[in-house]
Amino acid sequence: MTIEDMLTKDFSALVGRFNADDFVERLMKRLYGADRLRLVLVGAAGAAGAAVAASQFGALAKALAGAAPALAAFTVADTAVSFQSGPALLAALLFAAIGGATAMVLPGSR
Amino acid sequence: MQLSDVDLVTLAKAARDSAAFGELVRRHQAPLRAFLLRLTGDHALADDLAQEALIKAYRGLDGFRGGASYRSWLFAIAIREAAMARRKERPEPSAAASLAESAAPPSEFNIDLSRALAALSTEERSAVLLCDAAGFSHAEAATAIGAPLGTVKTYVARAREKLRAALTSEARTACA
Repeated sequence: MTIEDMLTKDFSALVGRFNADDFVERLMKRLYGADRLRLVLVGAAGAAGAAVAASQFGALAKALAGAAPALAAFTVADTAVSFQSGPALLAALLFAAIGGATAMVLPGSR
Repeated sequence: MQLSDVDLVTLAKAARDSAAFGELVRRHQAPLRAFLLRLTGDHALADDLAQEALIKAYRGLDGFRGGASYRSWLFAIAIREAAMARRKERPEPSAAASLAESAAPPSEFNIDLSRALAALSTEERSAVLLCDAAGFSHAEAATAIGAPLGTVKTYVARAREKLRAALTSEARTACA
């Protein structure tokens, strides 16, 4: 028997044995268990952040109205369909931008 | 119809499809672990390294560009992991000694061949295991080891020569 044959025979025996154990199940559990945990943590942090942001929404809208009255009263698209960018809308846009930026840097986002 | 590795990688990348990556793991885990067992001589370490390599492959799927085969990319990660573990654990000579001591048990793997393998350098052992045991082409082995093709061919030839010489001398000793 050549060395190549000996190595091949040994390797095939090992592969057969390893295909029959529960390595794959253990690995997949570890892999997706970590992913699920990360998802739960990110979800919990997101919910807490959203709650804090919501509690400050009114204050932020007021601050925007005071700081930039011209911007807050700006009319978007002065046509048949137009609306004014009130302070509440500006605050909502600001929160949306922050949320979007956070989603872009989250691990696993692409 | 069975999907190719590249198709499965594309699926796993596009939607983090766990079934697709699971199939890739199922296809390659056994050869990877067999290779690492014969490379390190330590069953538990081989399984740990295989697990780390597969997890890193999952997290770094975007880094697989398809220029080489998936298995050579995966084995390259595993070989890097093994090298890091070796650097952390102990210097090279004792790693080879430990291989000689512990590589035999799992199958009816020839004790002489095990000892002869342990005497090879890590690069020679990797190259001969990939090409002669795992069925890699020289080009795939070169990608996995991260060495030029010519160098890998030299490693394989030198390893075969050393193994043959070691086994011949073992046989002579046994006869005498």
